[in-house]
Amino acid sequence: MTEDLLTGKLVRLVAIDLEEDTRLLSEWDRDSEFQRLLISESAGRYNPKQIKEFFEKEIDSMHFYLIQRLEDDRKIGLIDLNGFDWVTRSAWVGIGIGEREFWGKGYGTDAMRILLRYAFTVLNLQRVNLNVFDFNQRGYLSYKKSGFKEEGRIPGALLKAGKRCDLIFMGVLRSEWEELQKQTKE
Amino acid sequence: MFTTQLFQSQSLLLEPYDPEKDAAVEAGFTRRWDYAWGTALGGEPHPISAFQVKKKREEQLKRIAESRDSFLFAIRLRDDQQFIGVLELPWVSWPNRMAWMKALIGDESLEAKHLAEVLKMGLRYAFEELDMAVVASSTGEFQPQVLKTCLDLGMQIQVRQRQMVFSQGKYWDRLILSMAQTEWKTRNSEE
Repeated sequence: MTEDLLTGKLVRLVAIDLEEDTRLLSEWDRDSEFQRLLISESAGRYNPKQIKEFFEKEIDSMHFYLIQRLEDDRKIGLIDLNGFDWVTRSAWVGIGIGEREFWGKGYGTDAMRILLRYAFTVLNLQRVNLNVFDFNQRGYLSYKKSGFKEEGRIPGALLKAGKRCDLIFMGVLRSEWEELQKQTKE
Repeated sequence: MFTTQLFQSQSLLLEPYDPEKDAAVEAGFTRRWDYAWGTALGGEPHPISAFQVKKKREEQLKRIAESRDSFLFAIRLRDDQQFIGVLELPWVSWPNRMAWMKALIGDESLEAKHLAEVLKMGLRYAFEELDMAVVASSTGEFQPQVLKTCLDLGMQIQVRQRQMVFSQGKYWDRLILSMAQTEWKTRNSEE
């Protein structure tokens, strides 16, 4: 029996339901802090139809999943791999927990753990990248826990809530991720 | 009133890109790995046909006209109008006032001669005309001339993405350099 690679200790990753989940994604955007933590561009509002049209156009170029709690099957966030470069075997990851009550409880870290396992053992990637903003300390620490290393930052690249902030670049190599797996098992 | 021209320098012109004329020449440039990697016109770096370049540049110009969040210039020699490459701001983030920039010159000897001049024009345009707060660009140690030119102009290495580029049979780090408008003003205050 093959292990379910997309299930972790707290959550599983499930494909998006374009009819049901677009409503959820639109609702999460009501929380502008969620958007400011997730995207570098300005926060905005989009209705479920607009979101559905976006995914109908773009979904083939990304691996997009909803994060679902094992405990009650509630969908609480999103995670995706995009920007694949098949020469360097790298991709970018984006992650957000839309339901505020589940922030800081390990769901994002568990989802990232699943996604990295998928990226390295199924997609055969060599490295995974992400951007995080300097005010997102919770995200930064979670990514470090998952194996990402900071590779530098562009000072003052972003403007959020009227203040300039740094755009941080993080990356994890497959060799580093494999080493981390060994350490975790020991 | 204005002492500096934005689209003319000592030996170069920044002109509108003309897909009818420039695409065939640019297709020849993509035989050089550095150019093909920089343009990313064909996905993975490889030589692409005049037809493909024309199609992609036409699509790009259409997108630019619609969204206004990127810019494309043809670089021409001032003496004889020869098309030698492109200057691009492939992504301008208006809410953040941050732009990415790349200058690509097809011939290596012309690149050595003119890269600094065109990058300076690009930085001036971004800072003094578009009022960008930060401009960033990427290269690596696999392009020593480009890296040195960026550093000489005052850009600083901010990010080293390990093993992010594959060229000449091995992995290289991708370096991201940036400059802030304040730094640009300090360095160019006498002009």
